[in-house]
Amino acid sequence: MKDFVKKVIIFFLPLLILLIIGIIYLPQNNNDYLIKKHYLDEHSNDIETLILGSSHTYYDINPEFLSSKSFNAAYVSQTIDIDAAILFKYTHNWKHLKTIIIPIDYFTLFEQLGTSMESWRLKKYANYWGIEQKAMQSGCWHQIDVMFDIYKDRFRQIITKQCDSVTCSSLGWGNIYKAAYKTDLVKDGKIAAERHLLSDSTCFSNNCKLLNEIINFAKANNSRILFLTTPAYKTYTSLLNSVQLNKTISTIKTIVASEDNCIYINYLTDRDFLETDFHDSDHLNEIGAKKFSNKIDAVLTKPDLKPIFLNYK
Amino acid sequence: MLFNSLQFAVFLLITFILYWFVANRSLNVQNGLLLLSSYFFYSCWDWRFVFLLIFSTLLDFFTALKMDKSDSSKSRKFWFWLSISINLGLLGVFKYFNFISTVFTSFLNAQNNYSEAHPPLLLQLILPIGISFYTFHGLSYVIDVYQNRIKPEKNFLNYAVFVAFFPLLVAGPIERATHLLPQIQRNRTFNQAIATNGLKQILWGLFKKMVIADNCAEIANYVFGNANSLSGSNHLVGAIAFTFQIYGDFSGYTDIAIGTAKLFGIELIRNFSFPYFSRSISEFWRRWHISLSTWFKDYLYIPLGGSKGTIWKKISNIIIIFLVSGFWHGANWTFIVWGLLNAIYILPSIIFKSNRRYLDIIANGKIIPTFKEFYSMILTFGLTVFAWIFFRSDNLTAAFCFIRGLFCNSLFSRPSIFPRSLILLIITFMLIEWFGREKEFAIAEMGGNWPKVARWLFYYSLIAAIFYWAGTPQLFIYFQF
Repeated sequence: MKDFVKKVIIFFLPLLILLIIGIIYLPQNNNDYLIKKHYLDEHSNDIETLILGSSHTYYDINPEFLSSKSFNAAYVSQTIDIDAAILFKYTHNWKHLKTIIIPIDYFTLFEQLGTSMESWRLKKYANYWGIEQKAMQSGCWHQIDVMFDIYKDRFRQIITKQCDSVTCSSLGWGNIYKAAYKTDLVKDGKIAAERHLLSDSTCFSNNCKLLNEIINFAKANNSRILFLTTPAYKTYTSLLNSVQLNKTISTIKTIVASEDNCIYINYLTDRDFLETDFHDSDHLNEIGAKKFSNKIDAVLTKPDLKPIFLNYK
Repeated sequence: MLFNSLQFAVFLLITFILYWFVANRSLNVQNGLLLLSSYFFYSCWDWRFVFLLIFSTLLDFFTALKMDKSDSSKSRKFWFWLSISINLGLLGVFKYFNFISTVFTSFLNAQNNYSEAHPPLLLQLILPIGISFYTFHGLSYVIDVYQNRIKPEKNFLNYAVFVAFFPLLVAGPIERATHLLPQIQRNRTFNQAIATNGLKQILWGLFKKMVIADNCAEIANYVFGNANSLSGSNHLVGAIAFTFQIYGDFSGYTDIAIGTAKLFGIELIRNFSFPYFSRSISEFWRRWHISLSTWFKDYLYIPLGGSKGTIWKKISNIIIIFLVSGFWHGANWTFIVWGLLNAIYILPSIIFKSNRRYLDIIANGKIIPTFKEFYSMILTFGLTVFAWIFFRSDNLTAAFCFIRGLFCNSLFSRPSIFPRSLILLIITFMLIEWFGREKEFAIAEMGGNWPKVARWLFYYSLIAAIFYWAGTPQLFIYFQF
């Protein structure tokens, strides 16, 4: 028995030492979640334009080109439930918030992070943002789980020899999609269109409810909401399911029609965006992002916001 | 308290230390500790159901004693049927009442031509975790006592540990009194080789669950959740992902359970024996959820007549046993169809008397199988994948939609869901399983001839893999049964 205990201790000791050393001495890993969270912790009082949403707004809108003090809190696979959680996390801080930008893309209303293939990201929001979803456990054990997960992230960075895993600018814009590295737009369009074809009706009704909560919050805060559908290349848009797309567009139009603090602009097939503006079929590169951000800025700086429906068939 | 949680690791460590260092002077104290820790473990799910567990234990313990003391066969029969009906009654109320009520009401409404459609009477009950497993423990004990296979246990503590032993309490393996009770009755001495083997089995179970099952679950959940908008090839990816998910999940759970029991000096029965290497469906069912298959064989199939009698008798027995097995899994038509489908798969081998073929492991003593063996294995695997579609689907409509979506032109298109790293992990996993297929579990004797450093490095690699590739934690699938 003693021999067994001794062997088990000897076996686990290096792992335990490695874990402790890792937790104490490994530098705090820097990542997009932390950057965004720290920024909002410090500057949410001053922000005038807040950009929420998925990778579409994360890569497509660069706050540097917006006249107002803006921050891009969007992120890859971020869904409306997470957008709402981020917004409500700083409920009492949005003293200067004038505009909230929320993308309503082809898949937006039919997806929530917890039910998507990217559900593993829920833990990241819990770890780094402190956003807990209902499905997650709580209490001290959860804190230990969180600690392990953070350590796991650091461990992965060591393995992949990454100093950090930052893909965004200091204002939260995803700055890794360079014009020099373009993907095959035809191939990517097909895959992305299929990946974004969703049919979760529960998510749809929950997301509509969340949109209403966000609208009510914005009203109470004297803010307006700019809903927009981001531009995409024809290899993607031509393959979209018309039922899902029409349902998305008609739903947001109906919501916007009854609210005086909201507008909706559809840039999906905006012909101003050329092949050279796209990194892949549904994300802009830095050139396209500049063009799109300028367009958004022109909208935001107009005294009266009017809905625009561009080239949408 | 999930087996793959830190809570369980701490719970196991404390129980292990108390068991071998504090309670080791007396068997009753050791069993008392096991019982208390088992009830604590169960109460972590829902403390209210501990009372149901205690009631079920008391019922079977006392009815078995009453049967033993009965002078007449009539009285013996009375106590036997009392126990059976209360056990099945509890299972029926908690697990099947709403399903039966819905079916019955639909039938009545159809008879009335829906002129005055009535809603079904539904109970708002939470299904007690593991109820099917511990009820079957109790049933096997009562049946064995009734049939004089064993003498009733006189010590309540021993019997309560037999029912509630925490490694097998919530998802099996379904133990038999003839196998487990004698181990609980006798003094247990610590055996280092068995305990080390147990730790290895726990490690392998964690790898199966956290790396294979949880990662596959993400794909399967997505595909089954959005089936009607994905291509046929993606349906196939989803179905295969679920096939590996359920194996990694359930056999991983079982490995952790058996490994944990070994740490306490108790050997549980084997529940899996590399089922995806089977060459026929009959062989698959000798290797998948063995404790349930043998339970049904001993307590239902053989009493029904087994493979004796006319061909129609044999066919009806097979269909009954698979339908009941499907229904045991859950109150849903999907499980019944899954059971029926497996019955249809297995019937040709019963009719042509080839079901006892392939009793040994595939390519025994060889590195690679023959072409015929490989072909049979792939065919069996394909049939299994197809059957799992029913098991995974929420209802029959969803299952048939999934199948329709699977068998279309886009089946041969390139899937948009193609998780390369997961595919590599599954290939590595199956290779390890293949090379360890002649043992109790894949890594039982892996590295036995290697230098200690190499062996430990292998275990460290598994731990690192769990740490690095663990998917989003999912509840064990079989907990719902």
